[in-house]
Amino acid sequence: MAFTTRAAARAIGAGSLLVVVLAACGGAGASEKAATTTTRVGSTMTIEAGTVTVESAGAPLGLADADRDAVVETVRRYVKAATVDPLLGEGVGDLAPLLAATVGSGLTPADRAALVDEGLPESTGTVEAVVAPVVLTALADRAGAIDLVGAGLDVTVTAKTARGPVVVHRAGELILVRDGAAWRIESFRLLVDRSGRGLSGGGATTATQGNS
Amino acid sequence: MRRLRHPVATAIVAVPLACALALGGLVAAWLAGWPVPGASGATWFEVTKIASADYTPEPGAPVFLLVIGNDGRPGDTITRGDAIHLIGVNPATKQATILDFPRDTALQVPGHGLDKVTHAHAYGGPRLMAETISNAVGAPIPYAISTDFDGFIGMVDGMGGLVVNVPERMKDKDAGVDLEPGPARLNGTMALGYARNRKQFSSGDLRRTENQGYLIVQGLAQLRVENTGPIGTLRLLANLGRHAQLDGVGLKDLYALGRLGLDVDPANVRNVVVPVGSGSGSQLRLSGDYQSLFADFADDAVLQTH
Repeated sequence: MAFTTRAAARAIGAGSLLVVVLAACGGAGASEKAATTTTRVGSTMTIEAGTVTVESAGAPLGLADADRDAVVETVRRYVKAATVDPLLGEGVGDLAPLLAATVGSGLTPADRAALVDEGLPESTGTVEAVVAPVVLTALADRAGAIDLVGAGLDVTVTAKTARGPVVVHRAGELILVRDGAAWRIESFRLLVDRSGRGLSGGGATTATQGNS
Repeated sequence: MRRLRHPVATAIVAVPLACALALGGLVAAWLAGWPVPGASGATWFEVTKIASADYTPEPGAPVFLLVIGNDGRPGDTITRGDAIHLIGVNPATKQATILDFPRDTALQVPGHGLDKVTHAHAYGGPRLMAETISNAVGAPIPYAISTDFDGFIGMVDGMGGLVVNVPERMKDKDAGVDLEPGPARLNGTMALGYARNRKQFSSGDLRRTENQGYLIVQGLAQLRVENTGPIGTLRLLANLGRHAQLDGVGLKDLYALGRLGLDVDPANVRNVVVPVGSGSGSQLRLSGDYQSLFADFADDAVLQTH
């Protein structure tokens, strides 16, 4: 169940925005508790892990905490770069460190439109992000090695702009691959809805699905 | 050399396409050469990385995968490749082509001269068969997937059967098939019979190998319908991984191959039997415009002029 959170966003000076990240129950387990984090622009937004499942070709095992945290960190950076940064007037953030080499060159325009939010108007007030705990599904080989993790994503970002409100809802799955100590997005299937009077076209809703 | 008993069915119907159509290979260290242990039992298929260990498909470039159904029975150490399908996938256009090779097609087998392509498997397993076909077609083959009768049956049963549209009455006692025309969900044994059936057809093995290609396409279609997304693919791979013997490949490779295959709409898959001269029981010579066909296929895995 998703619920709303009020950012206690107090803009201090021009361009000062707050990013509110809410963790909502994702439906994968009652044990998940919502967490709210309020941070100023430029600081770290928080996303929490939800349930973690390991699909193993061998013996049952778990996902190491370090890997879990690293995967969620990549997801967090992705959400910030794809949606929050554009609303803050910074344009789409640098995705290169977040994407596997196999992804970038193969993106079609539709895939890219599903992956990032280009062309959003700059927010004039609070930016809020409500993010369900990220449900993780890892794949283990027979030897217990885990090099692929799937992340279920469900995030809603809202912002006020000069033309009116903007709402971006993105849901779907990311597959992340281990790259040393880091995890990079190897493929995705996402559905994004953008709506609100702040969008060009005056309130049009666009839905884009993409895979890579 | 043992006498040929049965052409193996499409071995890979689903998985391969799934994987094969992706599929893929699996982690080297992981299973290289290990017998599949197992609680979950039997080995359904073997994935062999033919290319060098550091090979990874170049983004957007075509990928070629050899799917082999061998005639192995429990205890056999030398087996022939009787169902032979070279799958080319073009990730940029999301199209694919399956070249079906009749088992008696005469090709130059490295170290053995002109011989039936089926014998290449007996001489040197999937690697030599891949080299033989790669040389003939002019396309690099980085991966080969091989299965046998039991593996094929297990694979089809493992995916809950295979939905096909039987084009005509199929009845052949030797192949173990007895099907009425129309839509049907085949279990593993029935699918094997479908793939082996040839005696009722005037074109014999040519029709059989075409039918095997059809099963691969149907397997892909079914996997696409039933696949619930990238995470569903991970679950599928975990299951396959319990039944796979991997030589030089890992789950990351397999995932990439599987995703490659699942991106292709079956409507965009061409299934083509390579042209050979008539005859059976002896070597079948490539005929017609096969050179042009191979060149058309090898450049981008898509047939533009055939």
